[in-house]
Amino acid sequence: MEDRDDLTIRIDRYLKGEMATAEREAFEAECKADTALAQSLAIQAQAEIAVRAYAQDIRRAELTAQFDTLPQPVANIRPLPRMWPAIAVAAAVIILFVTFLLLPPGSQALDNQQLYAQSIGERPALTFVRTIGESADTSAAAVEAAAWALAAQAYNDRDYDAAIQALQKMLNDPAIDSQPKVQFYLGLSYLWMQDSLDAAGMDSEVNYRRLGRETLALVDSRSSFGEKASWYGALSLLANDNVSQAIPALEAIAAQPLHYRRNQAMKLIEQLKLE
Amino acid sequence: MTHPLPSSDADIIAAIRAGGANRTRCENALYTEYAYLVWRRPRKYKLSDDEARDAYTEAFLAVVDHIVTERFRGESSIKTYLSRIFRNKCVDQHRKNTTNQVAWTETFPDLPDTSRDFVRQLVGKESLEVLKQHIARLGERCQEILMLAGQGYKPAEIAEQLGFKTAHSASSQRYKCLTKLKALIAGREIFS
Repeated sequence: MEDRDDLTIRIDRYLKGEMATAEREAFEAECKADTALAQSLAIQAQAEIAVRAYAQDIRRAELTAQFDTLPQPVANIRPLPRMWPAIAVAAAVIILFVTFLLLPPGSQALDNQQLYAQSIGERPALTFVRTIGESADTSAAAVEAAAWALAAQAYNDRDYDAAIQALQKMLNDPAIDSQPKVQFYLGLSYLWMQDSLDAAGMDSEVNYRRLGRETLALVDSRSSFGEKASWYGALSLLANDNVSQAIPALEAIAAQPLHYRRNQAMKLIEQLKLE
Repeated sequence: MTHPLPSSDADIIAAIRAGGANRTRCENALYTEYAYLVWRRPRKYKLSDDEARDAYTEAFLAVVDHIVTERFRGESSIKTYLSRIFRNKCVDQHRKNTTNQVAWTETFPDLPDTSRDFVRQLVGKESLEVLKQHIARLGERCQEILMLAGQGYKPAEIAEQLGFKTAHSASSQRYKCLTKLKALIAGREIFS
């Protein structure tokens, strides 16, 4: 029978990834066949988790105590005004507009970011209609209306973080009928979130633009949001300077005679092909 | 008193990975260097100064861990990386998402995904607070050894910090402490 310390050492080697593949697989097979060994592994894993958490607690307390001794503020930084994202976007739009006015026609083409901003124009607002008393199940209608009210307030206030949260809750919720609409505005919220971060020069671990594009791609093309989703999805490729994918996406729009953005798509393709 | 920070990111990373007392000094200096981020936090999350300080501390600990486990590969500067994680921690604080959930990837970074899943299935849902309470029942010496091991110190560094003659002695003592801790944990109902 294995000595307790030897077992601890053996399990330690496993948890630290020090076993070669064959040895590790043999160990796991042994655990599956031996309940006591499996329990010992589970307990030691829990011990490691506890040790790590304990060590982090101590280090956290040390650093917090260190922070509290620092002069405040550490650097002479003024807090930025609350409206800075809107101010940054407005400034960008004004600069683009002036540039467009000053440039003679047919002169230096706008870059992709400028084309993107120009094509986006005014962001679509999120509106919803209450249908009180019309539906057979008014409680369901009330639940849906309340959810939309929350999402709309956040979205229209440009609090895209809150809008994303609200819309994510509505996604795949059977109480919410209009899933294409949820997907569409969720996709847009992700795109506007990335725009805000870009305008502020802030990095993010989350690629909101990619999330936006993927969400917009889920929108049923037969729904009333299908055409809009395809348009903004194509524009999001442009925002990433991904012209090689943006052009085919825009050509797919231009190929639809009744698409509401057909003319804009064709014009954008011409401009992109000038680059 | 904090010591001066090494001049380049590469030197900072090397110092942290080298471990020991030098690592702690470097960490403390790095923590102070970017503490101003707390005052430049995104205002829309409406965090108090204390919440922002805590978010910064959590972000900093995550960055140090990523440096040690080589998850941070130096593709951006430490400052950019820390700023990014700090922002995400602010979002977490705002959403009250800070829980006692275990970050498996950080506890067993060297296990392949399949093995990590295998262990996770065995362990089930653990209460972190209950697990940590067992450590409090160990002797002070074991607590010191496990604390340093938990912070990523190698046996040689633990030996140096705590006055063991060799790295092997420190390692043996760590295993003994771990075995004691296991016995304490086993004394309670573990599997959910």
